[in-house]
Parts: sequence; C-alpha cells; structure tokens
Amino acid sequence: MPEAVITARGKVGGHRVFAGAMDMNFIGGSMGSAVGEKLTRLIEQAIKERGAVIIFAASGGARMQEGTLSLMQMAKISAALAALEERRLAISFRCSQIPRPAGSRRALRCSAI
Amino acid sequence: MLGDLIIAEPKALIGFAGPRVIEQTIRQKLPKDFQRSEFLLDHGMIDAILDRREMRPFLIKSLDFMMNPDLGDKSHSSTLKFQVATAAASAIDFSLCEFSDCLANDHRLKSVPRCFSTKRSNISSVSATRRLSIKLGLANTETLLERLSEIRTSDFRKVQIAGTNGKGSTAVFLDPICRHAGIRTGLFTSPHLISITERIKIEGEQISEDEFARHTTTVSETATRLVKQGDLQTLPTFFEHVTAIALLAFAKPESNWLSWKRVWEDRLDSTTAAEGRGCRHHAHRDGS
Repeated sequence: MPEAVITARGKVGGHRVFAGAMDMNFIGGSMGSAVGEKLTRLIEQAIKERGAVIIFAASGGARMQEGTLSLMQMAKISAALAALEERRLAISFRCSQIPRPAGSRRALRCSAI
Repeated sequence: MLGDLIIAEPKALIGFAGPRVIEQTIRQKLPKDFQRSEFLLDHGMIDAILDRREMRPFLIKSLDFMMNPDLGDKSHSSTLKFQVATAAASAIDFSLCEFSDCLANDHRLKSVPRCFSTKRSNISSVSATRRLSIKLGLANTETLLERLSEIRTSDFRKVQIAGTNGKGSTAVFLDPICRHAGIRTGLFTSPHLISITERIKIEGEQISEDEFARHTTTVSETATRLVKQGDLQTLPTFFEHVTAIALLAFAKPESNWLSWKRVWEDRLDSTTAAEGRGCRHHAHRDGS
C-alpha cells in the first residue's frame, strides 16, 4: 500500500460512486498531505462527474510526522466537501469503520474529515 | 463537514480526542462506551450502525433514494438537507429512521433496514411527516380530532399560550404551579431538543417512547383511513400529528392541560382546533 487511503471511481448499484477507503495498517491510517490530497481530488472529481462520495474513514488522526501540513488537510477536505454540498450535485456518505481484532484497541478518529 | 449519512461499524471508536485524553483533561469519569458507535447513535451523532456485510445493500438503497433524478435536485436536496440539518441541529436520534421512512414511502421498499426497531420507526414516522408542507386552516385537524374517539377534549380545561418570546418559560412555570395547586396537568410544548417525546409531559413526566409509539399508531392509522375515505384531503402535517398524539396521551389520565406552541396566529394553529371544540379557551398572554 503506497498510502493510508485508496481512492477509486466505480459503480455501486448502478450509481456513479467515488469511494475512498482508509487503512489503519498504514501508519495508523493517519492523514498526511498525500491522503488529504487524494481525498480532495476524489471529492472534486465527484463534483465534476456528479457522483456520490463514500468515504470509509478509519483514521488515527492527523499524521504527526508531517506536522502542520497534516492539519491543513482537514481544512482542505472540508472545503471540498462544502463545495460538494453547495452545488447539491452529489451526496456524501461517511462510513466509519473500525477493525477491532481481539485484544487490540484501535481508535478511529474521523471528526476532522 | 459531515456526510449526509453517517454509518458506523459496531463498537467503532469515533471522536477527535480519545476518551483517556478527555478524562485526564476534564478530570471526570466518562460514561461507559463513551465515543463508541452505540453511544453516539443514542446521542444522535451518527445515523446507523451496520455490520460491513450489511453495508452494500444499505448503501445501494440509500443511493437509489439520494441519487434519484426523479426527485429533482431541489426537492431531494432540500428534503435531505432539512432532515440532516434537523438531525444535526437538534441532535435528534431519529434521523436515519426518518430517512428510512422516506425510503419506504418514496420508493415502496419492501423492507426497512433491520437496525430500526418497530418502536423507533414508529416514532420516526411522525418525524417523517415533517416533509409535508404547511397547510393553512384548521379543517384538517378538526376532522382528525373528531374521528379520534378517545379524545374528549371537553373533559379537560386548557390553557393555550401564544406569542413571540417566553411561551416555553411561561408554560414551564405554569405547569408546576398548577400541580402544586392540586391540578393534574399535561404539558405540550415545541420544539424538542433531543427526543420528540420531550414535547409531551404528563404530571411533569415525559411521555415514554412506548406510549408515544402507541398513540402514533392510532393517529397514523386513523389519518390514513380518513384520507382513503376522502374525509381528509392529505395526511396531517408533522405538528398536527404531534398535537393529536398529545391529546390522546392527555385523554387517558383526566388531566387539565397546558399547551404551548410557537406560532404567530394562534387561531390558525393546530392546537386551536382542540380549543374550538366547545371548550373554554383560557388565553394566556406572556410579556411579549
């Protein structure tokens, strides 16, 4: 996996869907510049093509190692989602998931995105 | 920015700062399951909890509803926006139920997602009537109330509080005052903050979900029957529904009741229909 999120375009039940799935296994699913940019582009593409956005958020939060740039991703994604909503073109879903194998507790912190 | 629909997996931990951080910061013990999906669903932060194996069919149903071009961009957005806004603004925990009711009503779905108990979706069917537009005039409510035979409004005296500001406070003051004076009271107020059952209080006690659900069934069934018979032109609006439910609830214990409603023109309000049925009208004026 090259990053903590995979994004894709496809069809679900015949509807055009833009999906992003985060993965806790990549640095705790943390959000750095690349994750933020991928999600933003996903949303922007959805606006262009009038599709629905589904994000499977499973994130440990902002990626500390990338410092302030990580925090900026939240604002960037929020702005993209606001644009999506304003144009009333598409609907966004958020599916929060948490892998919770026995014994290990993994946090999902998705309030920022 | 939140999604239009927020679905969580069972037992997911969702939040910004984690529970241990919050506990150490505010030096208070947090409730069990704090920030877990089940807790958050109860508190209105998320719309549903679904196992990932159930997610695909649910997402498809939701997409069918939300992406349906027949609904038109405007109507479908505003309906959803309204519901989402209502859910977010007042932390109503019935948002997805409303949504599922919309799905059921608008698309004749055979089944409603199984995460909704009958009770909940029952209560939520009232909330779903919020989608209906405002109707002027009292004829509809009067017909509905007349046919609900359990309601004998003449059995109790009523105080209707109308005005701009201070209705709620006046009602909340008046209620215990009456009870202290030995008068049995029912209190009907709007809006609600967390649960729709907040709107109806009998003897100071909020109505239970079960009771609310039971009255809801009676009202909806009666209304549906009346529409079929042609006695009602359309289904009652959200507020007319709740008014009828409140009256049903008050009809059981012989209580006097107070009513408060946010309206400019009280004679055109649903609660006035109850007044108009040969009862004494005690107008109460607040300071505004």
